[in-house]
Amino acid sequence: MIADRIPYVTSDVIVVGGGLSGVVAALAASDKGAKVTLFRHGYGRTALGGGMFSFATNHDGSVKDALKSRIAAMAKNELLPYSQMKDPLKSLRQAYKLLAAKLPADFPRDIEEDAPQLLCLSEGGALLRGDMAVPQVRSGDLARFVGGDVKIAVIGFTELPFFRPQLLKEQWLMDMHAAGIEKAEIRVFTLPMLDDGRQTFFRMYSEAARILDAMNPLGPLAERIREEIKGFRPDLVLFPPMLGLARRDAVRDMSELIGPPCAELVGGHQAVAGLRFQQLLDEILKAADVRVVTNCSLTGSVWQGKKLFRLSGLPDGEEGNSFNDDGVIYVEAKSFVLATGRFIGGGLAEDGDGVFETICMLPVTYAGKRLRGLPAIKLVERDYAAKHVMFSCGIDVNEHMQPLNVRREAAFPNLFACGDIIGGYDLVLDGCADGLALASAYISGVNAAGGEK
Amino acid sequence: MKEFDLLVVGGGVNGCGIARDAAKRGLKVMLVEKGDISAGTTWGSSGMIHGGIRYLFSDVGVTKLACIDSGYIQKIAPHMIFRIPFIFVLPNHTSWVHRFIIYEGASAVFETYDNFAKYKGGKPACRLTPAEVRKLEPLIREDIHGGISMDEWGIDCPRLCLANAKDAELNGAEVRTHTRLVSFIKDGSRIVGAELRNEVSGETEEVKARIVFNATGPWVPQLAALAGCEVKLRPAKGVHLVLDRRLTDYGVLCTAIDGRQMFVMPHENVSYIGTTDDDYYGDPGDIPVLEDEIAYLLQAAESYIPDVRKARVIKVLRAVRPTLFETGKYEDDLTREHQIFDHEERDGIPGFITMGGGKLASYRVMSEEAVDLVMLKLGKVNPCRSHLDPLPGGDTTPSAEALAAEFGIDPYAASRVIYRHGSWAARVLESIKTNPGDAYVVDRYEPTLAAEIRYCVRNEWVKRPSDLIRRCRVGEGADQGMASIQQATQIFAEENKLGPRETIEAADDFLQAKWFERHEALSGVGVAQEELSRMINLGCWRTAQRSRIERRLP
Ligand SMILES: Cc1cc2nc3c(=O)[nH]c(=O)nc-3n(C[C@H](O)[C@H](O)[C@H](O)COP(=O)(O)OP(=O)(O)OC[C@H]3O[C@@H](n4cnc5c(N)ncnc54)[C@H](O)[C@@H]3O)c2cc1C
Repeated sequence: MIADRIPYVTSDVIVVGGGLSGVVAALAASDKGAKVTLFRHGYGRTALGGGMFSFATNHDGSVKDALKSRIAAMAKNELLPYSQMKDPLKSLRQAYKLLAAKLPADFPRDIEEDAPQLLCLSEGGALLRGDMAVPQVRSGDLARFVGGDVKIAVIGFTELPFFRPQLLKEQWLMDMHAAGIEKAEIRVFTLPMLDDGRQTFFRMYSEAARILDAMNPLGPLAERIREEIKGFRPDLVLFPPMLGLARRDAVRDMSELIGPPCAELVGGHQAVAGLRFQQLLDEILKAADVRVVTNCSLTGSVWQGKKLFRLSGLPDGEEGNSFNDDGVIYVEAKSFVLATGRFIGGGLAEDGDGVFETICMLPVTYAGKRLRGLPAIKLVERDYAAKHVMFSCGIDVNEHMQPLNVRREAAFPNLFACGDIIGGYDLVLDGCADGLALASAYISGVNAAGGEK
Repeated sequence: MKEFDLLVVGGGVNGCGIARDAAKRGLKVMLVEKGDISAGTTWGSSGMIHGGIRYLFSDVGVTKLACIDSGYIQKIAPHMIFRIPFIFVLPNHTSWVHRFIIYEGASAVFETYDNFAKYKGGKPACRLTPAEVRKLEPLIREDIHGGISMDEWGIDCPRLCLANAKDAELNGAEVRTHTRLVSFIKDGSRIVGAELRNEVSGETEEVKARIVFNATGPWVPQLAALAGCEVKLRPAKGVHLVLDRRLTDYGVLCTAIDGRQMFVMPHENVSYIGTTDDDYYGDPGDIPVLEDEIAYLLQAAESYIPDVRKARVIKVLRAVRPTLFETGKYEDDLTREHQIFDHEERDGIPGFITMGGGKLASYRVMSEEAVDLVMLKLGKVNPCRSHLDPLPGGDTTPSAEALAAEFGIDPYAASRVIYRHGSWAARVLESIKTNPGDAYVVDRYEPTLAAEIRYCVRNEWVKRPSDLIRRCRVGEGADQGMASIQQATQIFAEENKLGPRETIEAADDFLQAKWFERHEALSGVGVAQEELSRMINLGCWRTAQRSRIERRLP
């Protein structure tokens, strides 16, 4: 249920943030019987990402080297908050099961320790490994083809001139070689997506995705592609990351119409897979017993005694007039979960006087050191690809996922945090952010609802 | 071994200007630049073809020379010049005596300046009431005493250098970028040539030259030392902040807390806040920017434009002024007057000449003087024509609408191509006819089309994709290339038939070059943008990480 205008909200649990961790925290709390309200404001890293998620770390090792060994490594990992968790694997699995039960059937129901990692090619030509992906991406799993000869047809469209499969081909081959896939043959086929002779360019993959959504039936396009690739007989047909936003069966339809399994590449700043995954999450929330508020951003907090008592916020846009007289919205609950992400999500911000947490003014740290008062210039390196404090910092938590205050005690007994806002690791370089989001969200959600009964 | 009449060292505005002038006078010229054309001081300048009103007190000569030459530059390269009207804001001082002195004093200065304005074609200065100032530029604070308007001209510095280098090439010169002069070849005390090293491939080559010209800006002392003599500079570091938008339509001249003159000024599609001026004796090729310098500039701007912090600093320009040595003066009073050192007379080293000091605005006349001396040495007499003949593309200015219609592109994009390439614009867009995908906008902030990138890679000595920053402003917009670097690099790779490894390294180099320009200024929402940029560039492309994987391969 979506409630649009709520001047005053009370709930058992309030979750702030609607990305991967916020949704899982809300589901976990709701699963334990709590009345949950989720505040969501814009999109964060989940929606802007490539639609593929990795739970542990990292990008090395053979394909068969599956979750098991990585999770063993994870338990020893110094990375926060894994190092805080009593049993990270258990929390991760429970979180995933809870989510997967609501995801479409083409997601596996459980994390199997022995299952191979997903192997996908990115739009940039990198071979990426992940543990969970939206269906379109996932069916591109190269692992299934490893060992034999892989023949991959890559489809380029003249409407997407920046997608240069001819050039990327070399990079894909190089990366596959580095990953031990020796016998791959890639051939590129470029054709117009629209057959009307018009000169059109799409800057965003999402533009192409919307055209594809509206293209009904897909038959004529699929037929033209089939003609192109006929002589090559590929095992797999790869598309740019643009296979429909609304129409989730586009990839299945394509596969049926063309013949060999179809999939899309991962990533790119204009990709649609992340958005599609976010849409799935939104639908899950709609179906679950969680109230969702979308047109309000929470910006402040009030506490009473030791407890966090209420959050306050400002409504978005013109609609604000229909809120309270003073235009402020108040939100009260027994407990609160911060799932607001880092800078993209808005959980952290920088104001010229260092990094701060935006709602509860929790201390932001890196390696136990407080960062407030340190200018940004001190938190970055000269080397672009280095690990920067700026992109690894966040709030600290204890084993219950309660944020710590300056004395390094739980800031409030009824405040929990999960996902990217917890610091200690680099979202990109450490390659484990999604697993941390799931595990920390589960623990937060359960604790916010009153703990494991 | 190749032989030249003149080997010009340094591809800044002076080196390019000298190479052009000399080539036009019939000399056999080679121009070498260790990095990219215009990547030295010229890239870090304010880009004003101004008369240097601030030098009026210390050096009227500089002002007059600059005004005259500013007029010539407008004639030979009209397409890349834009007018920047300025408002000199008079603050509200408490005592009326003080106010009177400032107002009348300033008026007198501007009126004197107007005497020179006829040379550079500006509108005369005009007194403004506070209400008039605010009407022209509503972002200026309310409690001011008034203002004085004046006219200046801005220019795309790298394009000016490139046009000069191109014209040199058209007149038979050889232009080498990413090529460093590493040592001199001597015959007794006479310099007869040099050893050059290609900084991309590492290859070296020896060339003979009757005269080697040192036009290396702040590197002048280093090169002179290499030749065995001493030239002293008093280098001064200048920092500009670049904002993500055109904050004002007028340049706003203001006074910093320490009384120095500062400005907030529109430049192309961004604004500059500048500039600092401090002694600097470090490496001119690796200039650090301190947080104090950023704070100082923002504070000064804020005291006149209170909302300045609502805009975002997207990068920091840094450069060293190659100011001539004079001890005991304050930085601001140091003269910008140039000097040509004939090392044959001065140090007994025939075949070697150095030029120091100077300003962008008077590059042409300085080059003329420099080449006059070279001609004298070589015993030749052809007269200078650099102020008469237009630079490549400077003869006529085509219509943006017509160009847009012809190539099926956006008229604004067409106007930007014309701004950079003048009458050569149609040549630049030519590839669209055979490859319609080249009409695609790669960097939407400029906007830069794929066709222009391809043209530059083919014709303008682009050895690294980061050279495109200066050719066609890829990566110069609000997202600092987040979405365009990979695409531009792909075009570069296509044209140069690069393999995957080189392509990734090239993209890395581009990302690093841009990061270096902005990392000190990272703040506010810029941090969120940077987080996203890392996701896209390191996450999806895995550029830097992949170079590492690659290294592990057998
Ligand atoms: C902050 C600032 C603002 C300014 N604003 C203005 C303005 O608004 N208007 C104005 O008229 N002037 C301005 N100036 C001054 C003007 O920018 C400079 O006078 C002018 O750009 C100097 O050009 P150049 O060619 O002498 O030096 P540079 O542009 O520095 O060129 C020298 C080149 O030599 C190359 N080089 C060095 N050593 C070697 C070697 N061994 N082999 C090969 N190549 C080598 C370097 O890589 C460099 O590119 C400003 C200067 C600064 C610092």
